[in-house]
Amino acid sequence: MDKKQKLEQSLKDLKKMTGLPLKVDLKDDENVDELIQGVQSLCLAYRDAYDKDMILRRWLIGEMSNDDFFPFADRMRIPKEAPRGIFLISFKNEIYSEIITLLKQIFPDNNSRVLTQGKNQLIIFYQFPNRKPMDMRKVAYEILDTLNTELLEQATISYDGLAGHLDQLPASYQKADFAMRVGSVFYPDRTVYNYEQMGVGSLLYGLSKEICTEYINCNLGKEFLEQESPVFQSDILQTANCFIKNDLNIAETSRQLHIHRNTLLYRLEQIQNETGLDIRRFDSAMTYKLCSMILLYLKHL
Amino acid sequence: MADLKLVDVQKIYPNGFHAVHDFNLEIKDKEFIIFVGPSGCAKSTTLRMIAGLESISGGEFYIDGELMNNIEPKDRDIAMVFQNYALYPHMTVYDNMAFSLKLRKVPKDEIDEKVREAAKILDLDKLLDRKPSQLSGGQRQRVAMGRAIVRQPKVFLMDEPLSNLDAKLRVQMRIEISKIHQRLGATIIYVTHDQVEAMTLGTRIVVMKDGYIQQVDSPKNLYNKPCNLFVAGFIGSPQMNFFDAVCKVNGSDVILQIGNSKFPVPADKAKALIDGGYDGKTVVLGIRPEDVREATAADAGSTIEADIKFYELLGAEVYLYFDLEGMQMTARTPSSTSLRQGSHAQFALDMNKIHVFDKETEITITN
Repeated sequence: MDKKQKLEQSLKDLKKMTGLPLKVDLKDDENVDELIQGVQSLCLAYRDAYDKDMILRRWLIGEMSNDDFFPFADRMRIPKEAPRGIFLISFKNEIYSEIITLLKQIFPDNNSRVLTQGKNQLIIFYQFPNRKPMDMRKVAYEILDTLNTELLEQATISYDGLAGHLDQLPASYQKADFAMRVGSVFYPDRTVYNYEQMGVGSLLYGLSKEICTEYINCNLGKEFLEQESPVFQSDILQTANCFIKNDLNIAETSRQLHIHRNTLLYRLEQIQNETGLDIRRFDSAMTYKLCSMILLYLKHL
Repeated sequence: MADLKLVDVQKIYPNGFHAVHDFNLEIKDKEFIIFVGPSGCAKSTTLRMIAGLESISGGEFYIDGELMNNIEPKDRDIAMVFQNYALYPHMTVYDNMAFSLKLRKVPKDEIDEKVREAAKILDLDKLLDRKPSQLSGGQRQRVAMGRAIVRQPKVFLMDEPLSNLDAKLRVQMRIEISKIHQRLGATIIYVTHDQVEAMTLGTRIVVMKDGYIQQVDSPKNLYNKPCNLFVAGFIGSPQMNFFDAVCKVNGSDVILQIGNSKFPVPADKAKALIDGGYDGKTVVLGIRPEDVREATAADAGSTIEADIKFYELLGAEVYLYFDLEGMQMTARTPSSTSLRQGSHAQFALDMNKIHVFDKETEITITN
């Protein structure tokens, strides 16, 4: 594309966006670059000031204050009081236009918006139809199941609770984002994350690397930070997790894992020999559980 | 359609959770395979690995001999139906079914042909102009299935598609799905936690627990020849009755003693107990409620005496609940029985139909 064509395209974009035709009387090629840049800046400035989705996104992610946003919301007739929720969808692959088209069909009502957030995430600004609040979890599964059915796209979804007022939504987005980050580290076996059900993972996620390292050093020893120990991997880790989940019950754990009682005892002894933690005792079991989660978290830091 | 093969398939998540262990299964073209098991047994995870929505941590998965492990879901030629389907509220039935093909830029006349063909299979051809709000629950569910059928995939994967429907509609839809399978002649893998759904729909059933396959068999064999205590208890409603019994061998004769009642074991089952060295050991005796009947004079010595604690009339039959050695027992008898709640009765067990399990390994001894 030569410079003139580029300029024409930018002018077309500007007209499409604003509805305003801008005529440029070009006498020579000297200032074309400046003109193109100027028109593109106008496009950007217009989008920042008037594009509903762009403004909603900037406000939700904290780039715009409520004071700046609310006059815009009034102008766009976005009611302050209505049952709404924020869903954050994270895709394994880059988002393509069909995904957005599909989601817009699930929420055809103009009160709900599908907003892009980077290459792999979408934010759903969802207003419950007819102002009737429904179960957020149900909506989350509907979104995910529809994406899986129609496009076979791998995705995870997070959300916070229902919001009754507009000013609660930026916080809802922050919580959904937090749940997504915590979930991807600690609960990769799930596809739907509810901020209110992130368990001990949400507590650990806020810890600094120093605190985590210190905890492992004190409870296990430095060597556990330097190389991966088999007692915090696959079979033994799963055995321990199952044992803890079953309230330290040997019979139930061996039954559930289809292993002999002696195999289970051998694995528990292996943990004790390596770590000094006898997880048949509650306090040691808790320490082991925290250590396993912190070691997982340290890999992500 | 398609043959599927899963060889030693594993799913281990980065947090160490080993969800699926050594999953081995061959699925023949046009089979209706059911994955059944309690919540958390990894049946949906296995289905999602087949779809490509979860990566496979170990092992191999083939469709028609082609390794699928690293093939993108959309290139596997499969279609999925889930329980939480969302129909597009502003679109007609036709447009709902056509939408995914439109997204894939399929030519209009081809879309039209596929939608009308699917509508015919699903008996939706007269409803194509309706909006979802004008449809009944069952019709909506059929539209959701239509969205998968229009793609004409090699394999259909269904993840508890009827779970959100009420009991009556589920029964209707079970019959519908069975008809659809016959009409399509498709390979279907269907996940459910409902053993009635599994028994009525499947040509073969995969019973799963804690990420392990317990048994793969026809519905009839699962019911009559369960391989372990879990399968025996999971399949069948009301559940199989289980009791601890002491095995006593005398020559080639074997009796199972529950409290003071002694039950002679038929020769074929007795042999398995003798060969297994169970003399003097406690085993688990299982018997289905329909194999517990009111005793006659011929049953003298091998009966259970009990007071009926509950009586449940189901129309053609009656469930009678009573206690034996502290365990609740259920008998299923014709509604013509004169027994009622509070009646004192004697019951006999059809010993040809008993199942005996090793108390420690829980594996069937007598099949």
